Amino acid sequence: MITWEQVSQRKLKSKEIIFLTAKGILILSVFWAALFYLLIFWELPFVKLTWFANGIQLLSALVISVLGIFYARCSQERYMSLSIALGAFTWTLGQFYWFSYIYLQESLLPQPTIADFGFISTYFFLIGVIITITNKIPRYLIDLSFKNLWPFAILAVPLYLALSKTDSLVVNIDNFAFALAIVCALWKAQPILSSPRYGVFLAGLSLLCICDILYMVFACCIPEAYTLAADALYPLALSLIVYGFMKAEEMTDV
Amino acid sequence: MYEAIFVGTFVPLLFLAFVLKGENRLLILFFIWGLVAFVLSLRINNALIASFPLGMEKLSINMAPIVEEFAKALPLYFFIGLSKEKKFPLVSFGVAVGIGFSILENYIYLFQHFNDSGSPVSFILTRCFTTCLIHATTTGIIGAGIVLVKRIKGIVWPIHFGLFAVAVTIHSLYNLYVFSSYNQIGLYMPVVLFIIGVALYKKLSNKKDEEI
Repeated sequence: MITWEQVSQRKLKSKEIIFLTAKGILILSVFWAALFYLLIFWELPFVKLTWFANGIQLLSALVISVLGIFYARCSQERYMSLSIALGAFTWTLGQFYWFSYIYLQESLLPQPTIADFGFISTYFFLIGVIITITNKIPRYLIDLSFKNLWPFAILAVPLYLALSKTDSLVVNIDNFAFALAIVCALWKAQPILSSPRYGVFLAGLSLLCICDILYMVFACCIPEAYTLAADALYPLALSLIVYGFMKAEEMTDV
Repeated sequence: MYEAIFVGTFVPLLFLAFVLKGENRLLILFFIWGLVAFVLSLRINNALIASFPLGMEKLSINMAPIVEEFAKALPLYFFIGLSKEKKFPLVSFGVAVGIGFSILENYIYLFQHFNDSGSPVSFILTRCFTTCLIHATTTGIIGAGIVLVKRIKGIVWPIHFGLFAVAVTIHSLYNLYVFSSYNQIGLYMPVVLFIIGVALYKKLSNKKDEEI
């Protein structure tokens, strides 16, 4: 007969394996990011490099989201873990669309694209998770003041791009939608910004926001090589988010 | 022609909905909404083609999924505001909308290929296992999402937007592959997704504490 203790031990063991794998993916993502930016200076053909980088992004995002889904099965915060995994999964879907498009059509994607739906929905899932986390903090501990309005400054980026770099209405709508999603995610994360428990998770979220801002600026300013700016940082951002959430939960377990 | 098919299907089904009660009536009403959603989407897609220099392929890949998924999911949004105590099989309702939508779409495609040589049965069978399933799966995903997020307070809209985006991306991916030289991937994708979806649905339904 299998005892309850054996079941929980097995659960803890699989949780540990998933946690270590996520850590491994995170370390690999750091190495890949470093290698990618070295390769840019190696003067490799842009098309080849971007094709390879997109393949790596797709593969890593897929592994990360699968890890997230497996983790949700043994997590105490099942729905939050599932939301994180779904966030990574929708990013994977967007990337799959992107990769398929450049492979099948043999050209860069027009901007904006349907893949942006996949990328932006990652923020929606993350906002859901952040709201759930902050709802657990007692109201009297949340001290928001005027200086906490800084995320709204991000809206200056699409505003500047709309005024001086692009006339396209759909591109501007896309840029503002991304900026609003970023602002909303960072605004909702204010109460946990100083929490060391969520440090890695928030680092991942911030990196994802920076990548998307870089992408939107480069897409308007250097359209011929816009993907190069943040291509290698996305796997790092996603692995930081997933690993960071696991780490935060591990700190509760202890 | 499609108006005649729409009215010819819509009105008898309304009679049926009138006779039925409770969840059965709702299921038929959702199915009927699928037909309405198709007509709405067709009108909007035609207007988009007329207004922008888009070909059929570009429209199917880049714009139609947004319009179609939004039109199909519209009645499901109503259930977000309802209290947590009232439980509805929203996944089945979502699937019913998708199936209703694709049946009317099948008729249109069948009439467009009416004069082609060869039997139309294989053509329509292919559509049944591909387009029907992709429409059913994507709206089912949104229905499942609403059931899921109703249990978690305060995050209904962010997660709902997320799931809508998932549905649109999957639909666009399907269209992208179907129009490409790798259309075999596009043809198998709906079947695989549907089987995974049904397996997950059954698994969650069997759990005592789940009301999906």
